[in-house]
Amino acid sequence: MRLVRGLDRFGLGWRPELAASLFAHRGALDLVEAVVEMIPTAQLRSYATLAVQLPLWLHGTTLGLASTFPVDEVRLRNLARTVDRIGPEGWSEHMAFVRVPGVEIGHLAAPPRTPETVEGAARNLRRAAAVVGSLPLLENVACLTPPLGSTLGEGAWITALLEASGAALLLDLHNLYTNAMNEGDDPVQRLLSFPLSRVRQVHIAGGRWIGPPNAPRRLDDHLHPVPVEVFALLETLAQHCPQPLTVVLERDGRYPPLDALLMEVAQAREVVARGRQAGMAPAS
Amino acid sequence: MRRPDALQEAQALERLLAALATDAPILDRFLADPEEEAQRWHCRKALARGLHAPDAVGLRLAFQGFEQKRARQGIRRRRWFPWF
Repeated sequence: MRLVRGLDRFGLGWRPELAASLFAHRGALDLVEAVVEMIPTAQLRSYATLAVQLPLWLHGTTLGLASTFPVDEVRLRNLARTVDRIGPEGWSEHMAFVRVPGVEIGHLAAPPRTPETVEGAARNLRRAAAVVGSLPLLENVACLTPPLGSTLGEGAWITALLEASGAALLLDLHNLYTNAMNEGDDPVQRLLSFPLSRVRQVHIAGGRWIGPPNAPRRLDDHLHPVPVEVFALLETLAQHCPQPLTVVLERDGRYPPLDALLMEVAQAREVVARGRQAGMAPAS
Repeated sequence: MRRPDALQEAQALERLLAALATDAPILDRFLADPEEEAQRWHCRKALARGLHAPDAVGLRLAFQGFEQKRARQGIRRRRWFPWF
């Protein structure tokens, strides 16, 4: 296995609450990722300036690309303008649907894992690439219960979707861990069922357990530290992926001092380095 | 070979899932009789039968989560109908 070393990058989600201290500590980060929907129009120039100083990725949450319904053209054109004005290194979105005609769900919903949603997503991604000028990285989403009506497993569905669209994978390891827990699956087996050769970026985040004690569910809330199980998955991923990885820590509230977040980023660096070492070791 | 009406069925299923995430009475009806509610949404019989024994805990927790997100974003629940 050929290993590319020293090209892995580590960053943090850019949030308004963290902006000042993040900018002051930007030397500790290789990149930042901003949520498109949180960027005020009046601040586009500031983000363009930021993108010159530090590699910046834009992360969308409202296109709803993984749907049998066509993607909203107005939202696509708005995104294209934002990408054009900021000049990020790239952009990403989710393998989710967020609306059907007449109804806004309000958040990322996992679509049925079927050949029809694969085809619908591929159609929407062709349109997105034509309007925005590039394909997004696509992120796996978390769900409290497996999507009803699914005929494919999560790994097979994601593999088919990426093959049909030509997009690369933004692998959210807490989302993967969450779905494995909520579907009674082994997280490592689920990880190995994903198309790991297509992983370009990785999200790490935290969550919590909710629901009745006799049937708890894992919730991906981005409000807690990254659990040890997710760091273990990151190490396994680094062991199995020879390509460079860009790892981004997501935190969306209950912010600790920035030092605590930077320590999590540093831990991710160590974990990936350990996984790389294990990947180089000859099989015994 | 894919059935010619596969897209319509897939869209019907997506509409049903969106309703289960946004409309409490529809979720209640679905949990009481998944097959009947799925057919009300034009999910064909075979598909509706595949929806039996849904995960009530997970669906209710998901509904609550989506409801909180909508409240934060100021999205009002809209009454809608299977034939919409």
